[in-house]
Amino acid sequence: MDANRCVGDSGFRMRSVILKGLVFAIIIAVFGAMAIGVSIDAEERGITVIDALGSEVKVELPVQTIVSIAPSNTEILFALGLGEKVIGVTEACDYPPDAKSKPKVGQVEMNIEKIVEMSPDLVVAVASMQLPAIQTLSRLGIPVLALDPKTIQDVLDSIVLVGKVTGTEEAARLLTQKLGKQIQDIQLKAAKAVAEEGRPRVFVEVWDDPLMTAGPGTFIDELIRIAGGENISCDAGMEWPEFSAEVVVQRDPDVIITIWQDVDNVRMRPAWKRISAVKTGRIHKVNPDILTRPGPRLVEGLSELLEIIHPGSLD
Amino acid sequence: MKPDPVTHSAYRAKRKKSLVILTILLFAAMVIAAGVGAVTIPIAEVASILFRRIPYISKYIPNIGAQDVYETIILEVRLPRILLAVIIGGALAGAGATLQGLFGNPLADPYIMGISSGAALGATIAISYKLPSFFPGLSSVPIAAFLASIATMTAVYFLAGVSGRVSMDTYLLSGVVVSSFLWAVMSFIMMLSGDSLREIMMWLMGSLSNKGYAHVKMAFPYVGFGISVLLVMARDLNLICLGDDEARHLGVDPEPAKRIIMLASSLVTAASVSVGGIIGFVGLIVPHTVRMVLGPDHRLLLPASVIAGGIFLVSADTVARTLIAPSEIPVGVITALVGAPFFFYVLRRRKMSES
Amino acid sequence: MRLDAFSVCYNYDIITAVDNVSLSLESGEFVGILGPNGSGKTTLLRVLTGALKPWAGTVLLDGEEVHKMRPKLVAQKIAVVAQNGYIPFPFSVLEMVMMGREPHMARLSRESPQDMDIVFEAMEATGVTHLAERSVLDLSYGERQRVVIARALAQEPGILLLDEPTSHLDPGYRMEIMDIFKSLTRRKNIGVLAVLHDVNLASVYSDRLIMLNRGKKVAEGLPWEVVTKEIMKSVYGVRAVVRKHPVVGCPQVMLVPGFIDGRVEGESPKD
Repeated sequence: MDANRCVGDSGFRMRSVILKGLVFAIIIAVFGAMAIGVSIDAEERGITVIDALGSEVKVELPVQTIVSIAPSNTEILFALGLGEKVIGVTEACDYPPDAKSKPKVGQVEMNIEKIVEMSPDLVVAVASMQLPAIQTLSRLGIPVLALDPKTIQDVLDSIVLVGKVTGTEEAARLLTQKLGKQIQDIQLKAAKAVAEEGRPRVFVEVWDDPLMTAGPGTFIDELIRIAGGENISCDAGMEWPEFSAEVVVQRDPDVIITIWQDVDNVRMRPAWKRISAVKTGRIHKVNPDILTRPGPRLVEGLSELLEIIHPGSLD
Repeated sequence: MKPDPVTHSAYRAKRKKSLVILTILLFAAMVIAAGVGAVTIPIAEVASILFRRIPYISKYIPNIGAQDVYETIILEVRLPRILLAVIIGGALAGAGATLQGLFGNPLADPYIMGISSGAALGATIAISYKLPSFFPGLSSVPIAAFLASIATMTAVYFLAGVSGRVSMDTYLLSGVVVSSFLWAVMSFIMMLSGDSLREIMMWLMGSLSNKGYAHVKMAFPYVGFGISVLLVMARDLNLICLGDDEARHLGVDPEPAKRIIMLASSLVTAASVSVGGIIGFVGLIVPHTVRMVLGPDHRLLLPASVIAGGIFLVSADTVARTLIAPSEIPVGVITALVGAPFFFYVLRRRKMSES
Repeated sequence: MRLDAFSVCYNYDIITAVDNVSLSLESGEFVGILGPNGSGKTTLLRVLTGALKPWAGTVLLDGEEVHKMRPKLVAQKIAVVAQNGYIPFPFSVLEMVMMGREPHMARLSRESPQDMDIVFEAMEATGVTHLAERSVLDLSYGERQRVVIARALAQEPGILLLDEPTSHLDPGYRMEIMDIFKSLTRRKNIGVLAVLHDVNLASVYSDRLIMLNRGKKVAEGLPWEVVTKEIMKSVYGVRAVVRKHPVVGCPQVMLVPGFIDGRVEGESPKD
């Protein structure tokens, strides 16, 4: 059996060094992001930044009205205390609960007319998913800030960027500092647990029919690694692969995490009864929002994963 | 002049021989599929695990496999999937051959009657509203898909039959209308449930991933029953594809025969779509290819298509689950990628042999 | 074996296609049905096979009502040869002729050697044995028609209904095929009822003729009683000269074109 295909012995030691250094990197990056790509025009009280699409986004300060067209953006905006200024969200924006009472501007497709009618000072979008809407809104003269975080570090950078554009740098600095500290804390606990018990093998079942998991490049993969686990599908070659059931049986995960299906669905599967996680009952259902939404709650997801992968190590 | 005994016996020998060859190929494909996968298992162990399960010869087979996990992988993961591929491949190819004969049109496929849209709607409802499962090892999706496709089949049948006499054109039209309506309902539900969009799309693409014996047990009775009915009706199909009058002149009342054939092939399609999603190309190219090689006589074409459909889908699924292991490719992608060029090759060869 | 129709009527919605027609056919007889386009010939034939249920009247096959019989039983006694229909798949000639055995076979049985003998004999009779392995789609119209006739013969029917079986054939093929039918009445004592377009051909081959016009039977009898210049005038609206066939001795019609005005009956028309 080819265990440790993701984290070899030497690789593991190296990685823990890297992880310990992550918090410093975060702080450096925070200041780095402040230093580059931002220029304040004092006369017009405007600000120009480079967003995830590489476009220059020019915003008039102070920003009074914001429309968020992704749940993760909504969470960032509320976390920065901008909840009052958010005048439009999507149907899927369900966190924090206050967001649910905001006017809706779309579900999967955004209602461009409605956004234009609101004429917000800023729209916050997701670069990789919403290109057509971003282009249309920009053409209509509405400033659109496109975020596209791929890693936890990116999420922190995005928070800083949003802070810049909305004039909440201080709140952003405090938030990223707090998150960074929490991450560092979890890293240290995870490293201690890994040193004692090794890295449990983790399988995340995103969907059952077809069997899908979270591969390399996803937040889930990154979070599992930070929380001291080994994602058994880290060699899947794509972010959300259909995954071989027999490989799951062979790699014998110690922990199985489902995000949509009930735990029973996995436990009742005849072919999986030999799997350690099934035998020991270590099958957990985790709210997908805290594992997949690139917002501040990823840290919640991280601590939940640590508790699942290394029970008791949080205390 | 005396009849030519050589042609007569040669004709029968050809039929028997082709079915025997296809059956051998099917078993070969199944054994190879059992031996190949994302996890590499030594061939001797595969043989030992498989043949120890066969009564009578089991006591002569040594248990050389030390690893329980291999046994689980072969018997619990691969085997149900292989069986399901045979059942679904056979069902789709059999239904395709039948409908091509019934409509006298080689472009007909099992999804032409709108059954798949019903199944898709059922699956969409189960996925977006997260319906709970009642059966161990079986989620609510295939069950909802099956119930919805049976409802669709009934709706199409009665909508087409309002005028008493069912013409195939009315039937087709009724299928198309019901199907468009259901796709619209489905799109609406999908739109409202942005969360499950991706999962629904994956289901629609068709997959044999992560299936167990529960799926086999669910699909087999309906497919088995439906295919048996179709095999019994094969000779009627020969006459019906020549037209209603011809069929009647040769002793087949076309109306009841067409209804039975229609319902049986819908049932078969419904059962296979429910557990496997919409797997394209099998129901179109397998019967077509078999017809080119063995001729259009449905008494040979139907059983041969069923077996060949099994061979094709087992092979395609083996490629789907090994090519980029440990990840998998939706089997519908493989059937289309392999099917379309192969189809053109057969067409070309036939053209060349004609000229 | 005999087929009798009593006062049969059939309407398509409000259009009367067959109006109170009676006829009978016995084994060994060759009866021709004549009539202009739309006179109800084909509809009458479909009523006789049981495909259409008559609105009034009955059709009896050996005393049994045809449209109440199972189609399989009817097909054991009556075979039909129509004009070539659309064949969607490349059935071989052998497969096509074997379909003629369907009415005599139990559902799941295969052809017995006796069945195959009958099939090959039928192919022999129409001269298509050498085409056995060929696809019917590759055959000429005439060859295909002979395959369909072989299939009808393989049914071993007592009665053969023909719906303009030779209308698209060259004279050579046409005579050949009509000869086959005629010999069947003699050799196998089959009763043949043939809807024909060609009055002269019908006259040559038929023992009796029936003339239909607008769904009604307007004449019935020996060829000399039906093929007359008066009936040709009233049914087809043509001027005709009727002469005796110099070899067969039956009446033959020669049509008089409209541009030869003033010509009277009795003179031979110009070339």
